[in-house]
Amino acid sequence: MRELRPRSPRRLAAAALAAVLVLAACGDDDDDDGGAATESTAEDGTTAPEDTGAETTAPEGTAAPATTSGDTATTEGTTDGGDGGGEDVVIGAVLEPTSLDIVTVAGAALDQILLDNVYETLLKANFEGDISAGLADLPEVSEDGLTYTFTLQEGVTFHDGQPLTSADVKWSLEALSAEGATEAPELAAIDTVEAPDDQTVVVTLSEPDIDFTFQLTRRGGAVLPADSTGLENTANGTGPFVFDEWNVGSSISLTRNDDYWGDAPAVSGVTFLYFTDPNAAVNAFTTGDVDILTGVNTDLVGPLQENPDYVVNEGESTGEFTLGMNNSRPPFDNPDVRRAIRQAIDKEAYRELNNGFGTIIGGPVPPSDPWYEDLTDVAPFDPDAARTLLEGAGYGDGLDVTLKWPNFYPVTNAEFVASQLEEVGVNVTIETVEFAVWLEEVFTNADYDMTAVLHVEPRDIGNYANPDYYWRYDNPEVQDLYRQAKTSTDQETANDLFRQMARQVSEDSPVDWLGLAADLTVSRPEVTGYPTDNTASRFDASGITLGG
Amino acid sequence: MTWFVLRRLALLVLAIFVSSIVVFLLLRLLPGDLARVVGGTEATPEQIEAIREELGLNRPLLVQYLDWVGGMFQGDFGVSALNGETVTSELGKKLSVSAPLVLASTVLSILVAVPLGIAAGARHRRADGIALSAVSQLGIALPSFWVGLMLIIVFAVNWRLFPAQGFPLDGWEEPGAAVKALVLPTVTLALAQGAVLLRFVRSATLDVLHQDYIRTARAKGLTRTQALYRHGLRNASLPIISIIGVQVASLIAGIVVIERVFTLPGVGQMLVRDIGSRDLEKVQGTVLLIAIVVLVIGFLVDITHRLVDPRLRVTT
Repeated sequence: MRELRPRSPRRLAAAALAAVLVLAACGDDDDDDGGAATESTAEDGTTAPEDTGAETTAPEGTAAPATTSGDTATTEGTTDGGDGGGEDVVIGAVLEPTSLDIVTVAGAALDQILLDNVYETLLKANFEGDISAGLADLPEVSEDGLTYTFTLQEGVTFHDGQPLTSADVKWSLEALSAEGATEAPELAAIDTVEAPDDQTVVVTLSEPDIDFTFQLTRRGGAVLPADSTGLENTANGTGPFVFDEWNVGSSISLTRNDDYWGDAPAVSGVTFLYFTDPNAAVNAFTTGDVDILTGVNTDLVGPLQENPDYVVNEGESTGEFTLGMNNSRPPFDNPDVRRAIRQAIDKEAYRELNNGFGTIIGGPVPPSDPWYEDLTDVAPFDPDAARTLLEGAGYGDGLDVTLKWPNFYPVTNAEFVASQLEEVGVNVTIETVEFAVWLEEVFTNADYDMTAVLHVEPRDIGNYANPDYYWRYDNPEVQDLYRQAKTSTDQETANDLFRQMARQVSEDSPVDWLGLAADLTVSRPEVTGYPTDNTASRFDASGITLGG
Repeated sequence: MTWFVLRRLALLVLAIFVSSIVVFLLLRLLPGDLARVVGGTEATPEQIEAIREELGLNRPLLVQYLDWVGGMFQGDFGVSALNGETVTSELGKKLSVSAPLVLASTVLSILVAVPLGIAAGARHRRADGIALSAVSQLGIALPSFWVGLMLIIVFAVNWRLFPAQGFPLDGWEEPGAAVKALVLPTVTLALAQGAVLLRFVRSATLDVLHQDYIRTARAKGLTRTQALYRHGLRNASLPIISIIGVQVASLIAGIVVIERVFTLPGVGQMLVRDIGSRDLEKVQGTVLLIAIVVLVIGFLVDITHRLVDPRLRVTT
C-alpha cells in the first residue's frame, strides 16, 4: 500500500494531462484533416506505456526484495485434485520469476518455487545450515579437501521417466558453473567433474572450499537431465512436483509426482499466485482464494494476527536490509563518516517503523549462518558520538548526500533514514530508482553516495571480500581472512576465521545494516506442514496438508 | 475519394514505420539492460558480459532494428528473451482480460455519462443539474485506485458478491466466473472515465443550446427539449465521439492502475513487468502491435467519416 499511494495520483495526473494534450491536438486537427488527427493518437498510443511503465516497475528475477512487488492473479481457491486424492494448495507469493531458467537467470523467486519442489539438490540443508543427504548421500571427502565422491540415490527418475544417472549430475554441475551461469562464482572452485559409473560422481576442486557442500544444497546443487534445453519455460526435475503450467503474469502450477522416489506429497498440486499489490494479496487470503500467503506486508499483518481464525508465522530470513555506502568516494571513503552514519540511525526505531518485525543485527551475518556472533555493540546508536565523528572528519557544518532508493521498497524507510541522519547534520536527498536502473548505476557503476538493498543470500559474507562489489569496500585484511576461511578444510577453523572477518567488517562499517527482514506467512490453522523461514527464497511444498 | 484513400493509406504505412523507429529508439534510451536484470545482485562483470553476448545485446543497434523489422514481415513480432513466449501469443492472452475491461467500461461510461451529461447541460441552472455536475467533479477528483479499494472492501470482502481480485486461471472457459472477476474493475474504470465524459457532454450540450439553429428551431415552435433532441444532439455528438476516442486511447494508463489494484493479468501489468525487466524485444513488439491496431482503427474511422459526413467530402 505504502508504495502505491504516493505514486498513483501522479500517474493519474499524468494520464489526465496526456489526455488533455492529445485532446488539444485532436481539437485542432479534427476539423480539417482526419489524417493528422490519427497520427497524434498513434503517437500517444506508442509512447504512453513506456512513460507510465518506467515509473511503476517492480524488480524481477533477482535476489531482491521480499516485502513488496511481484506480479499477479486469480480467483478460484482450492480445487479438486488429481488421481491420488488430496486437494490443490494455493500459495500467494510476491515475486514472480521472469524466466524458469535456473541455470542462467538469477532470482530468489525462481528458487522459491522450483528448488525442492521440481528440481532437487545433491545435498539438503535445514535453515540452520545442517547438511544432509539429498539426491546423493553425504560425500566422502579426501584428506586434502579437494576430492568429493558422491553416491547417488537408487531408483530416482526425472519427470519425463528417464532415470537419474551420474551423467546428469556431471552435466548439471558443469552447466551451473559455466561462464554466464548464476552459480559460476559459487562453484568457482570446481576443477573437474567425473562420472566413473552410473551412481558415482567425483568432483575435484582446484582449491579447498569450505562452502562447497553448502552450495550443493542450493541452486548450485540442482540436478537437471543432461543436455537440457528450453529451460526458460519448462522444467524437468526429479522432485515431488511436476511443472505443469506457467500463466505468465499470474500463476505457476505444479502437480504431484505420483512416481516420486521419496514420500509423495499429500496435496495433489500447488499453485503459486503472484500479487503485485500487498492489499490484493491479503484480500485474496481473507476471501479464501489463497491457502497460504507468503511475504505478508508488515503494515497489513496486524488485523490478521488479531483474527483467531488465522495463524501468522514470524519466520526468520537471511535478508539483511543493507544501507550501502560508496567507500570509494568522499565522504564515505572516510571510515569515521561511515561509522557516524551507523551510530546516527536507531535500529530499534527502524524496527518499530516496520511494526516491530525484523531482527537487529550489527554486522554482515544473519543468526542462521554458522559463524554468527552478536555484533550489535560494535557501533551502537549514539547520535552524540556520530556528531563528534563527523566533526572530526571535517563535516561539523553538515554534509549533503544522495540516497538512491530502489522504488520497490517503501519510501517511508528512506524517509526514516533521512530524518535520523538529519539529526546529526547529514542532509539526505532521496532519489528513487527503478531496479534495472539501480543495477546499472549503483550495482555496476558504483555511481552513488548511499543506497539500500535487501541481500537475501545466506552465507553472503564473501561480498565484503570483493573490492569490486558495489560498496567498493577494500580491506586486504578482511580479504585475507576470507580466503583463509574459505579454503580451510575444517569447519570450526573456518567459522572462527569468518567470525573474525565479520567483526572486522563491522568495525570498518563499510555499510550499515538496518535489520534482518522478517518473513511473514499466514494460513488457516488446519493448513500445516509448510516452511516458515526464508520462504521468499525457498518454499518446499511437499509436506503441506490442508487438514479438514 | 480513391485518391483520398490512397493518400491516407500511404500516411498509415509511414506512421507505422515512424512508430517502429520511435519505439525502438525510445526503449534503447532507458538506462539498465536485460543482462543485468538476469544476472541480479550477485553477478560478476564476466557473467554479465557472457549473458549479454548470449542474448545478442552486443549487436549494433541497426542490426537489432533490422532483425526485428525483418521478423515482423514474417509475422514474428518478437519473442521474450526471458521466457520464450512470443509477443503475439502473450498479447493475445492478456488482451482477453484487458480488451473486455476497456470495452465494457467504455460502454458503461457512455451509457451513464451521455444521458446524465445532457441532463446536466440542459438543466444547468437547476438544483439537480448542479448536483450532477458536482458529483462528476467528485468522480474526477477521486483517484481510481482508491475507488477500486473501496469497492473491493464493500462488495468483495464484506458482501462477497464478487471476487476481491484476480481472474480465473482457465480464462474464459467459465464465462460466468470471468465476467464476475471483471465487474468491479469495470465499474472502477467506468466511474473515472464517465466522470470526465459527463463534463464534456455537459459542456457540449451547453454549447449547442446557445446555437442559432436551436433558436430557429424553437422559433418554429419546438420545445427546448425537442429542439435539443432533433438538432442539438447530432451536432453535439461529433466532439463527444472524438473525446470518447481519446479516452479509449488513454485507458492504457488507466488499466495499469486498475490491473494492479485488482491483480488482473492484463496488458498493463504485462508492459510494466516487461519494461521493469528490460525485456525490450518483447516490449517493442507489444507496443508496436498496439500502435498498429490504433493506427488502423484511426484509418478506418477516417474513411468511414468521409463516407458518412458529406461536408468532409466537399471541403477537400
